[in-house]
Amino acid sequence: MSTAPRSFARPASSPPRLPPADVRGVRAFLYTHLFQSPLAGVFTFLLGAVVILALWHIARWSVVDAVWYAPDNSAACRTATGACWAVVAEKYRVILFGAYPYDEQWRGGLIIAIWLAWGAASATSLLAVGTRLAGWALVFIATILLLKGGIPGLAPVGTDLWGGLPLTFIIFGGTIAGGLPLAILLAIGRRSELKVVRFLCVATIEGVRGIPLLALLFFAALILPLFLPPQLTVDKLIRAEIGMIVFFAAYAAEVVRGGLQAMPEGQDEAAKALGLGYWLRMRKIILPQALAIVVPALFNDIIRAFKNTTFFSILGLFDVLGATKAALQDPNWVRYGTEGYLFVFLLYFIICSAMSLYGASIERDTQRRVRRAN
Amino acid sequence: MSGSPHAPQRRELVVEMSGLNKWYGQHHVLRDVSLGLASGEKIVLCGPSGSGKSTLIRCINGLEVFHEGNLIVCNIRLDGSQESLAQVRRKAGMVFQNFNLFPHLTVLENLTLGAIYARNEPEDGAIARAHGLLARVQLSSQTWKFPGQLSGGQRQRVAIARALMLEPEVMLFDEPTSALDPEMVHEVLDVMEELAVSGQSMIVVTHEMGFARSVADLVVFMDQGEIVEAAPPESFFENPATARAKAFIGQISHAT
Amino acid sequence: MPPWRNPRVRAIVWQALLVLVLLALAIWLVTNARRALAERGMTSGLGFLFDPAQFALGEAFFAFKSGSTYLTALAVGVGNTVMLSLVSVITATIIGVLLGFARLSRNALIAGLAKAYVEAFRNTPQLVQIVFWYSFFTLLPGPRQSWSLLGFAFASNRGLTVPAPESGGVFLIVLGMLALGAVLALVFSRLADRHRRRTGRPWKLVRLTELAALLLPALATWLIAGAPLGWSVPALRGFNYVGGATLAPEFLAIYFGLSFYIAAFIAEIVRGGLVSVDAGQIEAANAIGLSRGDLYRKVMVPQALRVIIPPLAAQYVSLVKNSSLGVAVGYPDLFSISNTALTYSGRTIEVLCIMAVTYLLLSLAVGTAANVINRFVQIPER
Repeated sequence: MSTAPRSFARPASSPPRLPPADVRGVRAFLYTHLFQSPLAGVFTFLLGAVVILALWHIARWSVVDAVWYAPDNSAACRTATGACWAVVAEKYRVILFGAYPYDEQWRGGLIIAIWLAWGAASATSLLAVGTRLAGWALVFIATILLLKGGIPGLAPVGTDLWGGLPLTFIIFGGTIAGGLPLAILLAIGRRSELKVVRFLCVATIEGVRGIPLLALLFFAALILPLFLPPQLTVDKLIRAEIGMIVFFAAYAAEVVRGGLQAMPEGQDEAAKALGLGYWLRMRKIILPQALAIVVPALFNDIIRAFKNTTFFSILGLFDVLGATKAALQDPNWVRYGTEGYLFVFLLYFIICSAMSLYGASIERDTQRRVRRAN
Repeated sequence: MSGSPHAPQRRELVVEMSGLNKWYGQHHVLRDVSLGLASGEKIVLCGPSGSGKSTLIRCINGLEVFHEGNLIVCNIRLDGSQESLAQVRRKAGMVFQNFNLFPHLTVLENLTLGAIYARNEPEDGAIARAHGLLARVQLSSQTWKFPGQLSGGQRQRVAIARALMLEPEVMLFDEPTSALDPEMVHEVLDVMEELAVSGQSMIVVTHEMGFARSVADLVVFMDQGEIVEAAPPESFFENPATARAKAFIGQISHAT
Repeated sequence: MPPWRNPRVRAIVWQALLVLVLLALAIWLVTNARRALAERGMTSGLGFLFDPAQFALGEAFFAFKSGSTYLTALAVGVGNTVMLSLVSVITATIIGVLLGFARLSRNALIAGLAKAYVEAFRNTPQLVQIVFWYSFFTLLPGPRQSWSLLGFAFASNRGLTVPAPESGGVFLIVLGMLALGAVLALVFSRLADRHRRRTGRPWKLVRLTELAALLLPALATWLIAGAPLGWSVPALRGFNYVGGATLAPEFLAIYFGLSFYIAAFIAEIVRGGLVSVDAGQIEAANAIGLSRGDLYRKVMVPQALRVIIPPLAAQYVSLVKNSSLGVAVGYPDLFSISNTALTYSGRTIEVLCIMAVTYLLLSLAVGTAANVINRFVQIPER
């Protein structure tokens, strides 16, 4: 082997080369990720074969042999070997709108469209945060108005007929709208110097976090009416919603508290030095920063709140899951429950994945902003 | 200026590389690098950031892979096999810019971990040697502390002791003082100087030109992945042969 | 300073006012409740717990005989919840840890499959999964056309029929001995490690001896009990299976719904813990020549545990609480039984309060255990 000369000088630089074929491109990827060694290669082949076989069976059941449309009460499905997606074609109105009157279901469709549209608009970075939040508030109000009716042009529809995706959205929206402010109050209260306030907040937060959501919903649905005078009857939907709000608030309060604790003390001291009172300090300086820090962590709770809307089906309300269960009671279609639930599965998967991707992008943006600020 | 008075063919080469090439994606990060380190020799690698000097030193003990060329460490050729990697790592000790001490182990345990589990040394012997090395880097009083309880300079000295536990034939230093507060830099450099004086072969990536002047046998200047100039420190600093080296030295002296 | 400007005085006044307002609210609520209960002719008090409960409950880990007291019914509920949670926690942890490691595998196929699992099970509501499994099993064909899994387990609309040990008691004891064996194996591996450190010679048969320590107590107990080999394998007789044990769809639904869902979250927690270990640690460990196994055992896992344990404990608590979803499929857990009990006894407030307090205690127990373990894995800092 040659040894390098003890002194060496290269006045002009040699041009860079492209990497040889086995370093870049598809072959490199295959070698580093799938076939690092003969043993790994064999394993990949075997596993790959199993996966392909499984996918083939699934594809055959769900697509190739599937029945997509069976107007004659599932007779076609009975003879087929594949999935019976006709149950979705037949029952989609119930799944999506619940027991909402047929003629008014366009309102439900409109609500879904508005939510999807504003969701997409919020996901791009075109609008300022304030605009987005204001938009959501408007969407929420519009949803209630559209569902409830009672204004000129819209026939009134009682809450016992609300159902499906619009109901899920309303429950979700209400949980966040009511839960976030409550969470902030609880978080601030937990850090308060007033012993009584602190004790109450801790007791509430820890107590609520220790019991199942179902228990809380049952408390709200069954016990609340007992504690209220008979003149003050509250709709079952609203009662359950209160339970959801309290549950969400207890968990979100801990997240917000983490954000408040992460704030450097200097912020509060500087605000105090400027002569700002307690609530003014909170509103203008501390809370905006703390909330910005915890938005990514809050997203987990927000997505969970969306998934928890399914609990309303246990209370006998007709969110998407409840409506599907009811739809599948039909004796003609009861044996195709698997396909029905798979559809619901897909629906939730798409919405939750979208939210989770959005949350991840917010997290990246926050980190970028933090890095730039430092 | 090429050709040289001291060609170390008679001294054994501890590290020998020729025609080393490496790519990150399309980016050619090491271009036809050839270099030799003789036993007992001290080489300082310097250059602007992104020049590939850290990448090069990490190729020597296999923390990075190279795509073309030959790399032989203590007569072991690095051919991508686990065997050659394991053997080379027994001969080369590495000190990182960020110390990389194990925070959940005491200083003593940091030192003895490799000896006991990688070299299969009996505990008593390892502990005795560890005490000796800690004394050598003047940290005997910190034996039972955890890394989180030490200052940056102390941590780096522990890291040096940990690498020395391998009884390596070559020590590799990857910007050992870059992450330290200025007042702690000299305590680490002192330890490295003592090592150099005792005859340890080493390759040091650093910006500390004072250290290069006093300790190095050869200064190697890299830029954009290739060795631009290599010369003994006196001729390199007084009389750089290439324009790029000259510019670099100018930048460094302005910074200090 | 005049008293009404003194901040301390104001604080006390505000708090006193708050207490008064809350007290007034409480009194108003209780008065309403009393009136409502009186109107419905319901009495309050906990005496009803010793009344006979005239309802039947599905069978789970513990059986309930109709006519036993309400207290027994609730106790059965607690027992079922605890056992269900235990079994689900173990399953979820095993699956979750494997998935967590799989997500970090260098093999893109394994990592991709693990990621697909995590995304699929995390982004769908747990209740939908539970209801799906229940529907899936109840829609299977009857026992005569059941799906056979490798010839000795059968899935039908009765549930999953698996071979069961004939002497159930011995089987449970052997399982317990297996757990003891695990502890022994752990102790032995500690001793082997100490031996290695002292003498520098790793014991060649370490793994073999650990396996022996794991299995010997169980094997010994089994032999002492007369080596009962009887496994009643389910066989189709007529319209149903004879022999073996059948896991009801209710149990399968809540068991799968709990385990698979939480496993996805555990996978992410484990992955997050492993990833949180600074990459430099791995490089340093490689630089000093540690083997991959030692790298994991001595460097990565101890540091990862610090990050993993708090969120893992939270997931366990969440699992215990979500076992209440058994009510959706008719599994007799605490919530489900409470629901039945309050319907039959009419004592809504009492039953719900007992149930809530029990869940609180269970959550507290798991949380405290986690805190204790957490203290063990802390790393001292300056």
